[in-house]
Amino acid sequence: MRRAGPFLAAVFLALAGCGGGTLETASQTAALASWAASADMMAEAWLAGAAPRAYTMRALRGVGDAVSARRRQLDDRPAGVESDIAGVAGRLQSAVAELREAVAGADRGRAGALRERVRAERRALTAARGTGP
Amino acid sequence: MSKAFQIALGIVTSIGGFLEAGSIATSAQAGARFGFRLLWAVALGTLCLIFLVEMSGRLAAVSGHTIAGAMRERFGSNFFLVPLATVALVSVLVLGAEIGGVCVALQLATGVAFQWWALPVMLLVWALLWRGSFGLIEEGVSLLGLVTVAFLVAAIRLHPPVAEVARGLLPRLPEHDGGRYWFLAVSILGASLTPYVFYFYSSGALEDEWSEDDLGLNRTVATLGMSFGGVLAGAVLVVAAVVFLPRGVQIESYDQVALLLVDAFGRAGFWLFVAALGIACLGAALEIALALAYMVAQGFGWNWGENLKPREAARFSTTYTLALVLATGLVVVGIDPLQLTNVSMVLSAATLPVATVPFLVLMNDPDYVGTHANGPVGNAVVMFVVVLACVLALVSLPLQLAGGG
Repeated sequence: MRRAGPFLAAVFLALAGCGGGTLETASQTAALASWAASADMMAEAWLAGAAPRAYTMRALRGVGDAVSARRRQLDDRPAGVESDIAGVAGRLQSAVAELREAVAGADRGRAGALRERVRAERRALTAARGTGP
Repeated sequence: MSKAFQIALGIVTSIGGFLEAGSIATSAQAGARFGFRLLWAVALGTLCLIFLVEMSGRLAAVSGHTIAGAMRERFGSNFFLVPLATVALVSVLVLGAEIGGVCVALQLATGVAFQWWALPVMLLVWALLWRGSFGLIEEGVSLLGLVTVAFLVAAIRLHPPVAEVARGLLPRLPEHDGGRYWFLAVSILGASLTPYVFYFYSSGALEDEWSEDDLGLNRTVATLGMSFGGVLAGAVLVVAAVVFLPRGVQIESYDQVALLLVDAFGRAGFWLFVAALGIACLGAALEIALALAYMVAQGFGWNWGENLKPREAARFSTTYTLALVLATGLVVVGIDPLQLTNVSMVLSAATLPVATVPFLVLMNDPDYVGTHANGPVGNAVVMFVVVLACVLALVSLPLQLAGGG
């Protein structure tokens, strides 16, 4: 029993590590989906004339920074489901950056199309949450 | 001034002065994440605050002492340093959160980063304190704060499911994210029960020269004013639950909260939110800076009073000036205002026993309150909520820091 102690402790720690990783990925996915929903909402408000351009640009930059930070954390994890989600996060980051440019240029048509791209990535993240780790 | 007008004014200023960065941020986060499930925390915090505010007004009206003055006299200077240091530390953090809230409102309105607004906002608050009277602070800013009634109007316009809202008033265990649920519950309690509120109220009662004749006024203002204020905090939660939860938006920044009123008011919603956040936080910043200066000056036996000229209460004026500088420093270095708000609200809850237990002893001491001592219900409610908030804070803060989420 004394010999089994360290082994059991190691197994426990390994399992806890795996569980922690799974939970961590689920939490990152949920946060990314939330940021995608936020970008969608910000674009919707700007397109409806309910939010000023200066606010929308700054807020979308904040979304981009937050997505980028989450993506980096996913990139640091071993390949697997995480890399799929990191891929979605990369596409989301790029869509948000382009959306911000469209808002800066007051290009409503392009902003509307980019909002649809953000929504598509959000759906992908929501699906990943449902079926994922 | 007629009694009825005094009561109306007291209630209106309580409502206008109730919401601040803490209650707006924590209620919005709770509604976005857990729907109506955390309404009970708003109700419980408000109930406890009604008791505490009524007690502090009663102490001042009957004994002619503020909480800080009576505490120092009853327990001695050495003991008093403990609650003084604790409340001062928490108050500086909360003051930083409120100044941050005003700066965020200006950032939302102009697009200029919130850090740049820290110094101008500090100077504005300082100038209002330096040049203004207690009446200006108490009534002027609180009357402007009535813009926060927009949250209640929004909650009504969005037609939330009434039965579900009512169910939220009953405490229930969370179905998911337990750590986050309890962290937000304790943040809401901390936001409702920040000690500066009742410390400020007792000083205000003396500034307004209350006597035993004003006990009825005190009870009415405390009960109705704080109840309506609690309804406003509940309205923020309800609106967030209707607007953010179905979209899957979890609140991690004020930029997200800024869209809270857009569904209810369209184009005006964004600007109403900016005005509500800015004015509510400005009013709170004024009250906290004053409350801190009151507490320090009363504790050390210095001259104090917002109606005195600064040179007549120089150390009192210096105290709020220093508090403003320290709190503004937190914003200037770029600490995220929402995170600062969350942490300061939980710390406020964790330190509640230090600020309230000696106060409860005073409220049961006939030397101070004569025949107007607390009843068992008041003592029990306050002790229960204070201990609950403290235990939840001590348990949930490490969990939250470890789990992030």
